[in-house]
Amino acid sequence: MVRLVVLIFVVISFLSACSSLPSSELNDPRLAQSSEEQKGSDNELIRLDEGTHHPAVQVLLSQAEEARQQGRNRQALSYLDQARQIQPRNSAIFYRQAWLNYQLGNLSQAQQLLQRAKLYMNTDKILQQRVILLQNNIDARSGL
Amino acid sequence: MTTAKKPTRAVKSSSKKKSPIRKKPRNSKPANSKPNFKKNLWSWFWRLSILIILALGVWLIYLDAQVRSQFDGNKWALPAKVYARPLSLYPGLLLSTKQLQSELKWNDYKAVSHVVSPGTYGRDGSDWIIYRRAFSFADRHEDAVKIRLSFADGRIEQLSIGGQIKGLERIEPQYIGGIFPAHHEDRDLIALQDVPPALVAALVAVEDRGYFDHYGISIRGILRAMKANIAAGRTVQGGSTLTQQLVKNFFLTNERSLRRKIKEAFMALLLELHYSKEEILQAYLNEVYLGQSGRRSINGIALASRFYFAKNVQQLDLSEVALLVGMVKGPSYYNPFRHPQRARERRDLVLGIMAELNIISSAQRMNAQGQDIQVADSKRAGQREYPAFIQLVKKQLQQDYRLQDLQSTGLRIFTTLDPWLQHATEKAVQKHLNYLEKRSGFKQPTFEAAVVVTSVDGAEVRAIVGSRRVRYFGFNRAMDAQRSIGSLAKPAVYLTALASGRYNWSTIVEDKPVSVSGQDGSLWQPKNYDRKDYGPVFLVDAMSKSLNQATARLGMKIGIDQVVNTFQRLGVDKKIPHYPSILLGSVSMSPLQVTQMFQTYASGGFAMQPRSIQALTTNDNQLLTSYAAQGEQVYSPQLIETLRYGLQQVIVQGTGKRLARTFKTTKIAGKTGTSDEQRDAWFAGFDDRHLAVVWVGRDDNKPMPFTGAGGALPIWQDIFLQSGLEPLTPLVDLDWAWVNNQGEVVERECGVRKMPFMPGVLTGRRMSCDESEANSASGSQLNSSEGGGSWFDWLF
Repeated sequence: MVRLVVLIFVVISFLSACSSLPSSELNDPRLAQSSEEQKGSDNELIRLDEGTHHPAVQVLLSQAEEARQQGRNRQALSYLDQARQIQPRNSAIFYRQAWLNYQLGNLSQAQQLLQRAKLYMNTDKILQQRVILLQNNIDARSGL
Repeated sequence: MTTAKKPTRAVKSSSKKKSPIRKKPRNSKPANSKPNFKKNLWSWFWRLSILIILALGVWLIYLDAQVRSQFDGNKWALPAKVYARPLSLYPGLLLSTKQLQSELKWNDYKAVSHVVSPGTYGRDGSDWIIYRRAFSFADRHEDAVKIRLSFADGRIEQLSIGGQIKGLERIEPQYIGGIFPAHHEDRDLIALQDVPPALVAALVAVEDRGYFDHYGISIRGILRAMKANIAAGRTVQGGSTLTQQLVKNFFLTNERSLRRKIKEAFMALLLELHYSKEEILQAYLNEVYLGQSGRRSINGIALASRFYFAKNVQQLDLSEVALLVGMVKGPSYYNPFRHPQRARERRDLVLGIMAELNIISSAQRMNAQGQDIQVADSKRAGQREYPAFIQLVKKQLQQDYRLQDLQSTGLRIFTTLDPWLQHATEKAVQKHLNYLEKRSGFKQPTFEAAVVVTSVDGAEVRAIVGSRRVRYFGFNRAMDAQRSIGSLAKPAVYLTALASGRYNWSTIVEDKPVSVSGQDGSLWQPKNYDRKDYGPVFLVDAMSKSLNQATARLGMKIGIDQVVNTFQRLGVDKKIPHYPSILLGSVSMSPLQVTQMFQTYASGGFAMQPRSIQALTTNDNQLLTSYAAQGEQVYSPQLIETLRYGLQQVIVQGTGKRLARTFKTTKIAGKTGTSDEQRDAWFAGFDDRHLAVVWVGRDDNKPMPFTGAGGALPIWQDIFLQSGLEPLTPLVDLDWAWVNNQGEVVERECGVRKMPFMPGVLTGRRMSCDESEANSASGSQLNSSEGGGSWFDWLF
């Protein structure tokens, strides 16, 4: 009986080891996604550093928000691009790049970046709603 | 002639002796002319003197204006400084200790046992401690900090500063070159108060002891030099003051003439008249020539200190101070990299003078003289340049900035270059070209290569090589060589077919002889590389096996115009001729243009120009411009994902099979290319992080004994072995179904291959195995599955 238990344990351990990803892949920040937080009722993004992000991305989003509040929008965009280079397929970052470009009136740039946000969209409902809202805003301002 | 001169002399001598007689005989012509002549002579003498004085005055005013206009304000044309990307450190980053160590070393960091000063690093158990220097990044200034890093599974597990966990820290970027004016002078400016007093004292003691006493020129100095030179029988000592040396370097040329020497003396006097000793000394310390690094001239003690010792001037020890001062006499002769013994002797001489004049004590002298000459690693990045990359930066900057401003206003340019990848690319090119030549029996360097490596998502140029001579500022093949792209054109043909909606990868195409007549009556009859005919094949196999006949037939069916349009949508910024032969790549492009084309496949359908610049700041760190990834979506991700399946099949079963064996994954997309008669060998491929395009060929355009798979692909492989390969992840999910030999979607049991389809395509019912068998027997479906009929089917 003991042998059977040990055998079952070994088999289960072996199978679980086979099915799980190596820890190095699990920790890959390139694959990590962000999670949005709902602020207010209209789902609009209020601050660039909202939500839960990879620590490096969080730092850069905070710096981007600080720069934006000080009117240094070019630097804010630069921080967002640095964040994108760390997580090149994080739709939350593309969304923020699109959002800031939209705020600055760069509609075609905002549209291009929003396309990328859509391409890498995850299951985050709030982000999905925000992307739709921003798309509607861009369309409205573009006269579509 | 002689007769004419004699009377003159006689008159002259007689007039001196018998002057009273001169006035009497008024009508006597000779006697009368004597006083007039003298008077005239004096008159002319005075007139001439006044003229000379006037001319001298005007000249001095001109010199004065020249001195003041050049010495006031910006004295030097400051070249733009170009930096690589900073090394960002954050939890989860895949970073080998080898890469970290190399990057620190290239950035002049020293390995030490106790990390106590900026610019050093060490280990504490398995942790790394890096004392990052203070640096003004493009976005902000960051002070020096001591960073602790811990690793797990080859990734950064945690980073902290003073026990506090951090999310992101950066190592300052490596200096990788400059955009220089025509004279290629480079310098870092420094204020006199930032220069160690010992260095100033040593300089004055060795070069011009009377500096604080003279007015620009030193008669005593000249006499002393004359005496020494006469005694030695040759020129052993110069009599120029520091001011004269500055004038010579700053305003004049190296011409050895009396005229230049006089001008130098006057300008030195004028300089001393207008400016303080301190101002002149500061200018001297920034102006002085202290060596050469390739085409780059090392000027000023601040840059020289960084160049020779990898230190700020303030960090120099006594031995280094003395060596730097000693080198002023002959930077090339006393170059410590090439002539350490001479440099040591010169340093010891300077230390002796310093002790003699009580600038340092005897104990300090003995201690410093006992030290070996320790210079920075001459191979480190700070002394290396990346010509191909700098040329690209310059070209891209010139879209927004004037060249003159780039060469003179001291801009700081932060780029996308990844030194680790650049290093891997350079090594791979050199190693493999040597191997190819050896294998092909060439004793001389015969082949050339060019490589461009970009990030797949942002098109940032991470590495670029324009020649096997990677430090050579010459023809940049990556940017400027226009070479036939061969089969690298094929993905564009297949993309056009897939985009038409009439084809999918399971469509059957015919690989059989094809003949197209041109307008001039010539016949285009492409053959496969192995001269075989493969008959009916799946579309995906036609591409992965690079079948010329099948591709030519497909291209003629979908239309040349359509394929040309695809090239343009992919971002190829050149005129593509509407000839059938473009289907097989008889179109010339640079590796950079090919990169742009493949970037669209790698990025998921976004056309992006390869970008080398991240940000630009002024000399005093004001952000001028920052660039972000820009890309217009030109194809849907679904279509591009479908194409990428075909490009992966090149690795699974086609001409790129070698990569699957090496990397033990097939999640790589790529395409080999070989032009007519094997004049060009290409490989373009990407993983989840990087796209690399490799070209190998000869400058004389002669054939080579290898294809793209044998010539270019191994270079790609070496680059990715060094950088690490990240298997591709799908952009979107495709639908999958089994197909039979006719490419029809069938039940699994009778399917021969599982194929991907764009979402929404698989709307019909799967054919039963009985129906499939019946169709197979009649062969009736073969032609109808070829994307519909056309005039081309009718022709052949």
